Amino acid sequence: MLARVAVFLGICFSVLLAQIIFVQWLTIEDIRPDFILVLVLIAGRVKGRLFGQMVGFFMGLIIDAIGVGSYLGLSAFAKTVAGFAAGYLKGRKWRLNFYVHALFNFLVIVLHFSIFYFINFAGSELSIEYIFVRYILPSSFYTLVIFLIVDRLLSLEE
Amino acid sequence: MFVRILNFIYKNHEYFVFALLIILSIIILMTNDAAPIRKIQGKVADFFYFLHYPRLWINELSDIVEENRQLKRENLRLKLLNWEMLEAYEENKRLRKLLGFMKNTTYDIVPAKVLNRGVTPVLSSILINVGEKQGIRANMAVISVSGVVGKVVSSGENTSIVQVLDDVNFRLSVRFQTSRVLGIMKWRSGEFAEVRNIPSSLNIYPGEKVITSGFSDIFPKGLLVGEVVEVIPSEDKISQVAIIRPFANLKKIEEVFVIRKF
Repeated sequence: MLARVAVFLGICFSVLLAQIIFVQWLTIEDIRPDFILVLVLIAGRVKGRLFGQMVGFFMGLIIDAIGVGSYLGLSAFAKTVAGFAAGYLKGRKWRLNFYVHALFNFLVIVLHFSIFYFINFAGSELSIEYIFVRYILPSSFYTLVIFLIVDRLLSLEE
Repeated sequence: MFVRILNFIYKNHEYFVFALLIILSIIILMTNDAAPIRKIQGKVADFFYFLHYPRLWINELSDIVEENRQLKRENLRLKLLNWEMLEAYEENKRLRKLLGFMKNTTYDIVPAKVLNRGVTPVLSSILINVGEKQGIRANMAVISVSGVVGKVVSSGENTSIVQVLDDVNFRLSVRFQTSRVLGIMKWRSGEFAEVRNIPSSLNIYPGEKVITSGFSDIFPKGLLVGEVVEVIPSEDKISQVAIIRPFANLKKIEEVFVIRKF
């Protein structure tokens, strides 16, 4: 049990490092993939809603606190929702076909970025359409690609 | 009743936790500007600061690479500048020398710059930047501060071709300054010229200066040509050969004078 916790904390730490170090080279026109969100989605799918939202909340809080996110609590909020939603896939992945699975995760990712960007840009003069097309959709697709790659690699291991 | 509430909570604990976390997030979000939250954020940021070290380290490395590239560029620029300055310094020295030479000579001379060395294989020549416009014509003597260089063989409007001493067909009437012996100098090989058919009875010594004889319409009398480095007997034993090193450095010459009138 303790070993599992240690492994999971190690994974969290590695993903955090990856988010801090590598994202600067993967950023395209201000759009960056969210490795933490990928971790939250996978945690939710594998361990369920409770675990997913807990991981989402704490990882989001850490990322907000160390200044990589935006307002303190914003990533925590968005990732809690994402972790909770991803938990619905627990035990269902193999019953869904690939496209439905990908679409569900895409919608969760869009929901996450919608919460994040709409609150982040609240009060700015940017229109909702602009925020959606300029930030939410590109970030969602970018993160979905990373998620699908990681998910595929994990499936191969399983 | 209490047990039923506990059961309800246990059954739906995921939703309760979700609601709790969302409320907590929103509270944190709403109190972002509060001093305690800022303080906590600062402390957490401090605690996790070490996470940024690898990124800073990698960034620093890439900065060093870029800095190194810039320093190399700067180094090259400064080197080129230094070479230019050294070149200007050398040119300045040469020009001062030329100026002194021009003041002391009584000939009507025209200073010229060497534009290029000739590429014609049958003629060792240089191209100079004065021509007919400056009154330069064929068969005018060309000298340097050190000594005789050659003669003009053809001139254009602004440039002239000079046949140089080391051309195999160049002949120069010379006199050995001390022994007063006359002879015809021609190029031998390498850096040396020679005067052949000097009677063995005449004494010529290494180190003796060789000057123009004055028996020519091209070169005035007494121009320095070179010095004897060796005297060797010829095959017939009746005469000897004087090996002469010209004073003018024909390979590196950059400035010359054309004697228009003497």
